[in-house]
Amino acid sequence: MLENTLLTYISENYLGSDDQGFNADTPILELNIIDSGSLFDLVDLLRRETGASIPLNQVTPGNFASVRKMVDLVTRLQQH
Amino acid sequence: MKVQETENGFVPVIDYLRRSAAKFPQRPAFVGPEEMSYEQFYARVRRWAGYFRYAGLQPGDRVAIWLPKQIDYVVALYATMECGGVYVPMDGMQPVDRAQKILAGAEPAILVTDSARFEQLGAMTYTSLRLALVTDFHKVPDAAAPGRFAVASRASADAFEPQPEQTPHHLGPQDLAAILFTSGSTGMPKGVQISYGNLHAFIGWALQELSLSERDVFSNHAGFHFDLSTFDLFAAAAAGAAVWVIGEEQQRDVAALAEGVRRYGISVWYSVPSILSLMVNAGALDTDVTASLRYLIFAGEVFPIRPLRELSQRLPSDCALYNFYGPTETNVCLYYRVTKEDLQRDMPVYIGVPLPGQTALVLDEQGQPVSAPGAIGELIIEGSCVTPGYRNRIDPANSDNHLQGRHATGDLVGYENGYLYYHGRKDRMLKINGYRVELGEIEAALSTMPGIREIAVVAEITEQAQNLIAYFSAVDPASAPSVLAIKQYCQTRLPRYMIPKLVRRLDELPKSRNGKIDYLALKALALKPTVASKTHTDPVA
Repeated sequence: MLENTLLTYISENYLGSDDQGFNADTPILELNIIDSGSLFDLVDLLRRETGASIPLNQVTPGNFASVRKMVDLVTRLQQH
Repeated sequence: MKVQETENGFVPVIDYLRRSAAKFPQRPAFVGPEEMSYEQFYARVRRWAGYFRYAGLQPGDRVAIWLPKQIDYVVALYATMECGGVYVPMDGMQPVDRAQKILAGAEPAILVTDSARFEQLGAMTYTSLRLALVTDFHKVPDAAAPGRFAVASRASADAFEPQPEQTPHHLGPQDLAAILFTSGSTGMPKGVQISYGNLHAFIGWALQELSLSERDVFSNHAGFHFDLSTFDLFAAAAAGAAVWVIGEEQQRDVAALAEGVRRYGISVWYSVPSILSLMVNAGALDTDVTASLRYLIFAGEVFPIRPLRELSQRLPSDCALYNFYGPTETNVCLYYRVTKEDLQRDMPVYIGVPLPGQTALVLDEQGQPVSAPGAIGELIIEGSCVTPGYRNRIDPANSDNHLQGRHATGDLVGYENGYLYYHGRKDRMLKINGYRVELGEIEAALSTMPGIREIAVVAEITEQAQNLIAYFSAVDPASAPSVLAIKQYCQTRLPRYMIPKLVRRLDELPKSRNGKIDYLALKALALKPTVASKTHTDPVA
């Protein structure tokens, strides 16, 4: 499940595996867990995991604000 | 139109707006989602200024502005100057705790904010405050009248009829224009006072150096609480050019930024390098997007040479690249125009030479000038760009230096080929996305968190990024605060760029022989690859 994959990836790579309190609605940009430069690591991961092509104009802070927002983005892109 | 007579060529920056409103009334002052002509803009500035005076604003009084980036912010800022007041621009996105510290330090007579922020502030007990202008109140609710000061809606300011014969307040080079609050090492933000003479030293030079006209369109990427914004606002107003005010939600959205550059025909771009690197790495820039650019100027931090080189390949061949240098205490005091040869080298471009009339000294630890090839010393700036010290700071040595037009930057520099280059810092301050960050301010904030026994923050500096790492030991390891809890605690007290990227718990922080925290040992620890901190960016499919 994409949500769990993303939660695990972020926890292991950016939280030192301390995932206490971390969930799909945690604001990962606002808490500086992910910075703007690292967004593209997540773009890569989403592409690898789902095969979705994510256009640049969708790589916005709003679409990557939380794990849930990313899952919503991929769902939207796959429906089109 | 009355324009203040100049003293030795001195022009207070508010006069640029007055002149352009008279000379180019129908030209756009702003482009973007909300457009406004110079005539419309200055008319609104005058109405707000009239209302500020009506509320009792006196020359020299402070007006604090706590809003998201928008044209109203600029209206409030200019209206303050129109009255001879001092604007105090606040980061619209910072937490209320920090905003309150700044307000307490600034002691404003007027606060301009919106209802969400006004409600967060709660009961304000600043005796100086006479008026809170709440921009999205169209009608003041009864509950918003606390008694100590007036609360007004924007309709009151918008509808105010200024007196036609109102004579502009005479402004001299020593008069204060603004107070910009930056990170302070003790945990209290410190207010850098900026005079009209300081602004003239920079803007007057920029108008000579750059060939600007009313046909130009400036980007305004920086927040108004950041000294980079003074160029966007005042150089544009001097030229009668338009400004695209980039809101916070777009500041890190590379596609929206690139689209704005193309759509609005941006000809003058000024920002920190990190956003430019991000746009290049994301593949957002190409020559179609950048076709209108004539000047691309960066400042605030070192631009690593590789992304700068890649950026230059995506610009029109006649677009001039400039590196501006200067801490808030001097605004821009050095500059360098980047050459093709610079882009072939493997070192960051020079920070250059002083603006005309300013002096750069490089001194060693004994205060002696450094001259040997390759030698490094602290950069000292002297001249009219040096600001008159900090607000309400009891620091006689520093204040005396500032009043004598001298600022020790804390930056270590050297000379090469007659140009200054940046080498590093001599203290615990660093720049992140151009913002000054005192590591001590983060430590001071976190030291108040329950469950934390000791805290130390260090920076991990790579070519791609500067990451803050917080190390802590817990009062009780069994119930130590989580990484997320620590970040959330920071979020309520510090701006986003000061929230540590990584947080690590140690049983005990390493100490030097005299018992102090051993920052060198922590920095060495930071280099160990225990937690990935990937920053590579691949093109997007």
